[in-house]
Amino acid sequence: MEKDLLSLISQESGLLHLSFGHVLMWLIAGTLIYLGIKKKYEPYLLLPIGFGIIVVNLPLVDLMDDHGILGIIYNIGIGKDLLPLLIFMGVGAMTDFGPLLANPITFLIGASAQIGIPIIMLVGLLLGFDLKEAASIGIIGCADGPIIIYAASKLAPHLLGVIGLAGYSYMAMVPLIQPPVMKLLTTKKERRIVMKQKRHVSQAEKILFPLVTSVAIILMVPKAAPIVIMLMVGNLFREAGVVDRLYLVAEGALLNLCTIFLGLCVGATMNAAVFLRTETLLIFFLGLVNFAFCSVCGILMVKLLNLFRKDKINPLIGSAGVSAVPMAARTSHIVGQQENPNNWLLMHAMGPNVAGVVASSVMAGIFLSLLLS
Amino acid sequence: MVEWDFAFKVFFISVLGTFFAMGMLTLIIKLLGIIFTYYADDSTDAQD
Repeated sequence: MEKDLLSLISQESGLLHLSFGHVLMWLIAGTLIYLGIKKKYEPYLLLPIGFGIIVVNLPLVDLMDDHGILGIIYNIGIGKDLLPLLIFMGVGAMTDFGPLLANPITFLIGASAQIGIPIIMLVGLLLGFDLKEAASIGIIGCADGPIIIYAASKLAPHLLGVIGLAGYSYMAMVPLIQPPVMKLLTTKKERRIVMKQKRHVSQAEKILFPLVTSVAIILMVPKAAPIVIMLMVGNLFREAGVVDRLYLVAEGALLNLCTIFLGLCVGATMNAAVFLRTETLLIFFLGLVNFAFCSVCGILMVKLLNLFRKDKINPLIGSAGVSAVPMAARTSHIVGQQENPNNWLLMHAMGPNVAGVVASSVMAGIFLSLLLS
Repeated sequence: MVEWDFAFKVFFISVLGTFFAMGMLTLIIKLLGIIFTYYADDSTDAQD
């Protein structure tokens, strides 16, 4: 009887099923949690992701099964695209498109900073990933968390955790990745360019923007509709000025709630068997190259535009075309101030920064149209 | 081989499509800006 009891306990207890992979995943999760708390690197995401990784790497735990709590949230929240899209509504509610409206040419800078995405897709294909996987890896370069998750969940759900983590990790590291690239591609003289003050944008324009953009983009790329409408309806709530309750929910409670669930679910997809593979390292490497390359494309686009313009644009704002809002814009501002402390680039850099959000939605929409048809 | 052909197609369509969409938006927003600036100046003149 006692022997049966001991055998039952040993079978039901996780201790005897613990593997080296589980412990390694705990260490990775611990590092993410440490970076989130101590270094303040994307703490709102790294904390739930890290916790998700720990709990899913406990032996005999069925949290991600169809009836497990995280499995249920995953199936509805990510399987049905709910969480990334609701987060996008919050992003829209938090975003001021004013700097973009004041300087519409920055739409092109945002577009050019997405060129790295299809290029890395080709590199991924060359390295042995299939086309959908390679496209999902390419989208890491857009530096937009909800879009990365949304696209990966549709194109390569088995890589969702790794791709999501790579995306959020590099977004947190924008201030480390971009400055060397920016300095390499620009001269001191270019970095000192002081840009002209832009015109005031009226509230009517800001209200019209989400309506016009939704119609224009959805007409051109119907598959981008879910992302675009959520982004723009959130922005309409913000700019209308008469629906404060909706605006506050979208950019506050709803965004926070979805972030908790998204982080936990992304973390929970990373069990040792899936994560500890050579392709994970490859995805992280490609993500890093992608980030740097998208920044390069943005800067080169500004240099190209400057060839035809009388009012020169500071090329440092080109790297803000990757849509890590507002970190990329802040990085442009900081690097600019190192050359000229009186140069205030932040609002100028917000133009390409928010243009990158719109452009990455379009790019993701085109990928989904072509690859899921 | 077929996948590479398709991949290049995806590459070109995504780059051109994104630039086309963003280019259209640039023009639309530029036009809106011109209209709004014109009317804003107009209303200022009226007040004067």
